[in-house]
Amino acid sequence: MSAETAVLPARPAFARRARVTDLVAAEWLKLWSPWYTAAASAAVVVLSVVIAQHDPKPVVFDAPAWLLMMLAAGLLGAQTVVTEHATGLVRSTLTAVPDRRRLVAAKAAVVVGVTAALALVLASADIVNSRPTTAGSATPGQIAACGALGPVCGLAGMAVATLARHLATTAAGVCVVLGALPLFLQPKQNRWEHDVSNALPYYSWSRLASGSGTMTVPVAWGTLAAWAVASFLITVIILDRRDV
Amino acid sequence: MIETHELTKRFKNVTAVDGLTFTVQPGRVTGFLGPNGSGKSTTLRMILGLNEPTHGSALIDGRRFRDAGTGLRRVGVLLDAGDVHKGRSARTHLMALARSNGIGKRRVARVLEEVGLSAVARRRVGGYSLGMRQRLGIAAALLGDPPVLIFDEPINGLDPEGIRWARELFRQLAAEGRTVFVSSHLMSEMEHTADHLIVIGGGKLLADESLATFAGRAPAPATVPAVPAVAPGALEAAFMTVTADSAEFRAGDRP
Repeated sequence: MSAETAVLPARPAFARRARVTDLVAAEWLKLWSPWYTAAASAAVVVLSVVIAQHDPKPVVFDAPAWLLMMLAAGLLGAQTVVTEHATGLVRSTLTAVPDRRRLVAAKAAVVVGVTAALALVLASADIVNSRPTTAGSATPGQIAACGALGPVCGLAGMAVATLARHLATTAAGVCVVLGALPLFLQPKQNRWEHDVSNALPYYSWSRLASGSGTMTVPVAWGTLAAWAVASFLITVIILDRRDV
Repeated sequence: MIETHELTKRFKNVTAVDGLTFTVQPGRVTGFLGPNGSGKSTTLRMILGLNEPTHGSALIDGRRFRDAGTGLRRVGVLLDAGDVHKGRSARTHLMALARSNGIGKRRVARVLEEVGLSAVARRRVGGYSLGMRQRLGIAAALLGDPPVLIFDEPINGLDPEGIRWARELFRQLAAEGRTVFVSSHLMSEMEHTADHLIVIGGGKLLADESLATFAGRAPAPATVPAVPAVAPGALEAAFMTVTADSAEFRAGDRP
């Protein structure tokens, strides 16, 4: 095997050196096609805003609307991974981009950007909406917590999809992890349940956005960060080692 | 050039690929033959880094494919025409693949034209026939104008015109000095397309030789004329003979 043949052939006119931004752009293109992912995301935002408006509680960041946003962000993140496995597209994708870590990083970048935007849209709607009753103020810390919750859930969705690989299992998994667990496990119960529920993103966000609960602010932020990092690592490591 | 060395894949108790060592040379079409379940697809997946070998190695132009950051300009691949998102259009599918590798829109339009899908490029892939999906898969393989091309059963579902087109395309790609590796069970097709054959059965290498030499294994009465012409049906007969002991799935005899 001579060294010459190992070199990539001269770059043709139609191609330039692929940059990380090209990979992110490709994933962005995939996220918005087919159209129904964009439509579903928009629908969830509208629905969350409507729910927030109809909740009589005088809080800025209303829980039911945010639980819905969490599910939407989780499912959005999950579908970027599970559609690849469910359709077999993953094999086409990985022959175009053999470096799986780069691929996951690009997917994660798109998911983080879009889910942060969705969460911030909902947060803005909440603030505008609550202005007449609560003087409509929110601290930068509260807004940041809202903005972070979207990406945390998006990344968690990617991890669930990586583990499950099937559409229905993934959807159910996201709903259980992000939606059902915070409803069934409440921090007010016994010690065990208290600790477990405080480790959920919902209650960490709730502590930061509404000041409820007994967690300290650094612990709440740490919990959100841990979910994001752990989810990303699960997605990268498992895809990197798996036969597809 | 594609080189495998002692390539082996075990799934729990089953050894799908067992110590395969072969080289696929550039400048000719190499057919990859074997009965169903003989390990062809697993071998191709290991060459492409989609499956990790239990043992051994596979190199494309001297390096492991998984070590490449982007792949389209190194290897063009059609593994399964179904490996697309049915909700996307052919154009969007190719645009996403192209963009990830720094390849522009004009090249996408060019390959769509080359495979004859320009008119339907904006339609959902879900509405395509198998033959159209095969053409889309071939378009994806051609995107990066790569020196190595791998096609797994590319002829399935193509109409006679498509089969002739694909055959000429593979011959032309090889004539340009590229490495072309095509798997198939269609012996009649291989007679027209391949220069060289790699035949496996039960995960083991059974033959690695020129088409004419392989066809020479056909038992009487199929007589083999002088190289390079091959008697009609000789290749099929030779294939049946060579793989007789390793065919895993075989239709039952009619009562």
